[in-house]
Amino acid sequence: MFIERKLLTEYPNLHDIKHFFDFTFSQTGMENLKVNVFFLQDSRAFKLYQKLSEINLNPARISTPALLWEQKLIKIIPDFDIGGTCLVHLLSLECFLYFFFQGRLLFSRSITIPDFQKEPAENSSDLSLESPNKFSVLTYEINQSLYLFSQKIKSDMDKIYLLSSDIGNTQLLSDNLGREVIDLGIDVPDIEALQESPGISEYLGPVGSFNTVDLSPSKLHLNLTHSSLKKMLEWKPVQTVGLVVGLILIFLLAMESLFLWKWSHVTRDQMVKNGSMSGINQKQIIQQYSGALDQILAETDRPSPRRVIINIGRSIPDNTWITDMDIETETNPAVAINGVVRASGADQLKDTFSILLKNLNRYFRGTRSLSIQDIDFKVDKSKVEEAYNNFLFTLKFDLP
Amino acid sequence: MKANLTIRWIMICLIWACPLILTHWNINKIAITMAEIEKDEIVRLDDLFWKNNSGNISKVLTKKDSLALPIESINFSLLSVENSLKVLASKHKFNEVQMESIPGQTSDSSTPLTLYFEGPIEGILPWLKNLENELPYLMIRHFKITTDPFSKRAKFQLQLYFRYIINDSVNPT
Repeated sequence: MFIERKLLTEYPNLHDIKHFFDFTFSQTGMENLKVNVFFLQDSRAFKLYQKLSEINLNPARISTPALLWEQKLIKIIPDFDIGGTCLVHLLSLECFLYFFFQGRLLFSRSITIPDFQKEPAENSSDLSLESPNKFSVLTYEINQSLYLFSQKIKSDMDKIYLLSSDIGNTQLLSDNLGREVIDLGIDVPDIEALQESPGISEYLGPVGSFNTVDLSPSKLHLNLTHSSLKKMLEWKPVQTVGLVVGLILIFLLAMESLFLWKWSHVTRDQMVKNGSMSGINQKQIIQQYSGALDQILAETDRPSPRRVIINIGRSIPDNTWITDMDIETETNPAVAINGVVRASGADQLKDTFSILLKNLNRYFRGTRSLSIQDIDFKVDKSKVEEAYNNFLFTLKFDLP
Repeated sequence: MKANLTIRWIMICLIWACPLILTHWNINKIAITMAEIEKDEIVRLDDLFWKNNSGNISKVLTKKDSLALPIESINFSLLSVENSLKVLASKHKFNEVQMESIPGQTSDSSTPLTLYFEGPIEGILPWLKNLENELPYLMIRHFKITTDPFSKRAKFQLQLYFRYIINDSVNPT
């Protein structure tokens, strides 16, 4: 964001510059960490890119011969990353000057060479014979650039290399410059051959010395990509993987769906075959049976008055009789008994009640265990006999 | 270019939506099929149960049917019930038979009745047994006995529910 803002500030007329920049880091010492920013600054480049985009020819990687040379010279020139290096690329009608310092491009220039061949001259077929005039121009331009180089980095140029199809040009340039010029020593297309087809020469220009190895892989040399295209290229592997995985999943799940569809049909056919689908009437009867069973169970769970009377009759001792009996079977099943005990005294009365309670606890299991405190009694004074007393008692308990 | 990137993302989203839809469909299909299999198993067990217990089922259904009397009219039915109770009481030498109904508490399926009678105390157990067997649609909810130990006679008061099903197709005869 900082670089983008700085570029937009420095080049306010180039709005698209924010899409065409990149940067690298370089470190010469322990602390000299540098950020090298490279970007397009020619408005024609943006227009060209726009025109190409309109016809769906988006350049994926944009670079310059100078940046390609930077990468190529690392392999060719020993100690390229030490001091200053100049490369003179001499073509038939133009010359390219590249200036590097510590292995990094500092600046580059292109010089149009005047067409000396058009002037009448003896032995005009030999290009080298005309070289004095050509090399005078070159010498002037190179010296100017070397001065600019020394101004920029406060240091002199260490080595000058020449790339030319004619090896004799190295000596001529060296003589003119008055310092050593080294032949780069790589094969270049023959200028004379190119002169026969000037169209190709014009077409190739400064990139004529590069081959496919120099251009690939692209990550080795500095290049620019439109930010949107760069983003698209960055996301392309993710999108491709997502697409492929999604399609594989669709295929697998579709197979599963097909299997499940067949499975459900087989199951349904089996059910029809077994007659399960036609057993609705039978199912209704079984449901009615279930309901009826519940109702009958509820009925049998209710205390039966007949059973209560029988059990109370079994529980009553001989000297006891019931005067009133109240049996409730509905909401809170319970029984209330009023009776008379004929006893000679407290001991017999107590024994009688003990037998009564013991029998009631025996025949009415499932209820709270009855004790003597549950019985309320009093003497019946209306009927007094000599040896016995009648005791009126009341007892109430819940039914199971 | 940005539009292309967006279109590609939309395509990927659409492609990934398909597995989600298919997964949902598959889960649903599995659930439906499993439910059908379970239903089939229940029907199979019902069938087995039916084959082994068809006799008991009909008995239970008959007994359940006997717990409510199919009637056309409540008032006519009450007369019939009163008559039946009197007949039953006379069989066991009970007399002073009176039956009262409480019309305000009548519901769609039952009506409360109160029955009074008196007679020998030893006759009450057979009477109750006959009541359960012959008139199962009468459900005792409260039963009171007041005895006289010297005469061995008792007064009985019963509160009953008369359970019925109102059925227009019942033949009045």
